Amino acid sequence: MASPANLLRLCLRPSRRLPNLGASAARQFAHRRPLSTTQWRPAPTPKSPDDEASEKAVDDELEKAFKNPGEYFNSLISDESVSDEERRLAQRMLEDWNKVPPAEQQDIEQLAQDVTKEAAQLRRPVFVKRDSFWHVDEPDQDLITDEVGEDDFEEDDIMAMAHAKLEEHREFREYARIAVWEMPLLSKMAKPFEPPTEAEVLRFRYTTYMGEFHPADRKVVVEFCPKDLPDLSEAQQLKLKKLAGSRYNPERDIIKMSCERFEHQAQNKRYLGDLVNKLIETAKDPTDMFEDIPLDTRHHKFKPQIKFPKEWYLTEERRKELEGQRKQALLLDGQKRTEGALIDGVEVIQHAMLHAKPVETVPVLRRGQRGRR
Amino acid sequence: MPVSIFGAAFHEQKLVKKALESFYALGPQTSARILAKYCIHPRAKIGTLPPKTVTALTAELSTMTIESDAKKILHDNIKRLRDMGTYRGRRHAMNLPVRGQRTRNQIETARKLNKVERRG
Amino acid sequence: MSAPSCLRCLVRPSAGVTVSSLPRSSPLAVARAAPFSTTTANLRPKKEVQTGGAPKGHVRSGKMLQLGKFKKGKAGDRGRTPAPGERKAYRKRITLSNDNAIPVPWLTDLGPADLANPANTARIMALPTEVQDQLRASEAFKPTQCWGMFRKPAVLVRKETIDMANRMQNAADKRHTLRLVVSGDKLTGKSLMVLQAMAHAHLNNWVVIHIPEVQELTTACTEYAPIPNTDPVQYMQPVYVLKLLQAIRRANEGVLSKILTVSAHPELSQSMPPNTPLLALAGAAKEPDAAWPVFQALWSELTAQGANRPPILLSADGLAHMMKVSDYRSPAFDLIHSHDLALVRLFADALGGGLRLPSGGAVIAATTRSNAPRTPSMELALAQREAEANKGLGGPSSSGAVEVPQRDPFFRGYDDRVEAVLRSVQVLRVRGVDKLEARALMEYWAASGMLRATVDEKAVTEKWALSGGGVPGEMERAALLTARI
Repeated sequence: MASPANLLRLCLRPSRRLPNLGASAARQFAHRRPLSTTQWRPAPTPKSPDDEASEKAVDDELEKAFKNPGEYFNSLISDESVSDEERRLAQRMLEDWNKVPPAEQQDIEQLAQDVTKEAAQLRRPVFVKRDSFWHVDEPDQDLITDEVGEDDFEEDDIMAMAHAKLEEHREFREYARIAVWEMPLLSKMAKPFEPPTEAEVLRFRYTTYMGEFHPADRKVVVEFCPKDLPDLSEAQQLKLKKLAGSRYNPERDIIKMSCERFEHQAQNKRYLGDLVNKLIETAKDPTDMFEDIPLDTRHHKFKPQIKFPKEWYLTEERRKELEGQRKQALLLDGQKRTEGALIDGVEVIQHAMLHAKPVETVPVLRRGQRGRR
Repeated sequence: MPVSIFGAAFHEQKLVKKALESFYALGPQTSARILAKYCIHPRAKIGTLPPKTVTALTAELSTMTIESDAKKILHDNIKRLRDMGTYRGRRHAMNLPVRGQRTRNQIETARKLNKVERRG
Repeated sequence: MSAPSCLRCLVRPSAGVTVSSLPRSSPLAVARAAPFSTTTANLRPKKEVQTGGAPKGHVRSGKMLQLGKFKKGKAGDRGRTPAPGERKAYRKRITLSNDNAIPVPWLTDLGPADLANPANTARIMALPTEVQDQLRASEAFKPTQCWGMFRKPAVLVRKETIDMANRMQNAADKRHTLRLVVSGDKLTGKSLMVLQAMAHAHLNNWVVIHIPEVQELTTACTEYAPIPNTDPVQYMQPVYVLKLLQAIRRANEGVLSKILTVSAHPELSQSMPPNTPLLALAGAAKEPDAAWPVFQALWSELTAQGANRPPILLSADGLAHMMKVSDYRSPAFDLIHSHDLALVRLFADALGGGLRLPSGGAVIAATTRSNAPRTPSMELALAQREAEANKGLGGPSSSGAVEVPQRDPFFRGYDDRVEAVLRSVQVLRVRGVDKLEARALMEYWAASGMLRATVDEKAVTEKWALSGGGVPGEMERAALLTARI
């Protein structure tokens, strides 16, 4: 019963002879929030002087009520303009108030006074100086700090990087969840692999970027072997290869063409299909079979297939062969040694030096000068 | 014994090609053509040429604009430029660079060579 | 390649500088001339102050620091300058004998049939003295070969030699012309093959005409002149032909002196009645102008029908130079094809089969790997001839493995004239020597005192392997030319 709600009801009783109270009550209630800590802001709409007066009156009354409830209730009881019901309510509230121990009453009154005093600053209307440039002189309307202990870290939060890491972990868990619970269900959509039949001669390659739009996903590449094309004779196949030019790989015997001229994959694929048909048609055309033009493979570098020579493998036979050769060589050496036919260069030189004839020194005659004997 | 071609004497060991190129306004291309015309190989020495060929070479050289004829053309050109009063003519007359080079430094070659009566 | 100089021959033969050969105008002589003169030194011409290279009006003209005056002058008198051609002669001198080398007792001279005898495989045999002179006259020896390291010049008889000599002999017997190209990798002994062919020809009294370096004919370093009344124009090379005639004379003196001319040659300036020895005919040319007609006359005599002529060997070293456009220019400044040079044309016709030698003979040309221009037509033609020959030899088993190479359809540098010449030649591919031949070589070197090692199988195998499978030039490099003592 002794609730602030009841108290407010009394303050804002309809029996007070105040004009437009009902109309402005809601508005005022919205504007005047007694225990609010948010800065009061003037409403953009202009108020009539009646409204302002009524607001001020209500304000005063509320102040009185909360500061000294006992006196207010007594005043209400003794007031004649108050209705019976309201008087009874006031009576009841007075009884409740008196039940409260006086220390607590003082506390409550003090609290109300403190709050009002605290909020008085905020509730003071701030008038904007219209001459200041960009309202630089305006105090910061959102600043409600006393700047003491504001930046203290209460050990209750983590850095943005840590939040991001947690978010990442959540992402991993999301995908792990999908992998464990949803991906096995994909097996239901699996189709058995059917290799391409003989009739499927063209092999197309498409590109997808998994949902993104990318300029390269319109390219289509087709590969085929001229031998697989139906009803082409050898000469016609050769003509086809010559027509293909550098699109023909002679080592793999495949013609590979691509198209990205058009905007859609389907268009490019259609173009390639038409192109292949045109090629086949031209290849079958007997007007000019290009017999005198040789197939040009200069665009392709053939990889030399190097195999280890069979003769160089060291098999048992080869080993035996080499052993035999070496044995024969040794025998030949031995034979020559016994014959004395093994020539040793050093010995030969020494022998020659020993048996060399001494060189006769011939005095060199100087070419005489003219006229001198 | 020096052999004279077109008035200039060369010793016998001189290469014909070099001898020909020593004339003003005769360079490698023209000399190669002259040698080919008379079937002289490029490494021939003057001493190996028969007198007939030497005379023929002299005659050939006299038909070409070399030496003084070529210099005359050059001098006429420069004189014409100067007489017309062109910028190039004035530069030649003042021994300064003609082709728009900087004159703060590096004009020694111009001072030496740019004349109305240019050496070549 | 090999080092040509002998340690003994560093001194020039003409170096004999004596006191008397000092120039007379040395200051010493001048001073001696007037020892007691009273003329003062003032009369000496004043030395001008060197102003350096700057002209008079230059910012830097005037006295400058001369750093050059402290340079030492030229170190003494260098003697007289060599005569023209002396340096070339010194560079190209061939020494065939070296008295420092040890004489090899078991070395025998070559006989007429030795090079064709299969029993002589892997034997070293010496060249007889007359053959030496004949080969030297026709410049068959090269300065880069190692002749000057041994007492007597000797050659190794390889199986390729025997093959070639037998082919030559067959051709001579049947009066056909053997047309052979000797090819192979570098240092495999192609030039020596030609030398051995020439030796065989000399020993069997053939007439040998050898062109030692074909590049001298086509690199525009000798005189040339158009031959009148020829269409298309042919060019002769008079100085070279004169030299060639002199070489032919010296090399084939014995043979030519016995052959007599069959017809008179009125076009020559010297009167050559019939029945003069061909030696005289060859000697009729004393001037370059007369050389080509004399050569033509000689050639027509040698190939005269009905006369009893010996077989002719036409040999050349460096075939690639002959098989391309030469460096000569026509009077209209077009490059002259080598086959338009008369001497080269003779050879090319002979090689191509267009020239018939009535008494038979051989046309042997060796390719060279060092100093050879790229000749795609010649390379292709030789590769094709080899492949065809291998196909024929191998039979069905190897026909698939060896394919006859074809022309590259996209290359435009082929020469039809060259391909026509090489359409039906035989190709002798010279490879490395085998172990027996290598052993013979090394024994010869050891016996001459050039190889200080025991020639057993190990040493032979080692050198054989080092030389890339017995390539003779590489074996020389590995064994002969190392100065390990």
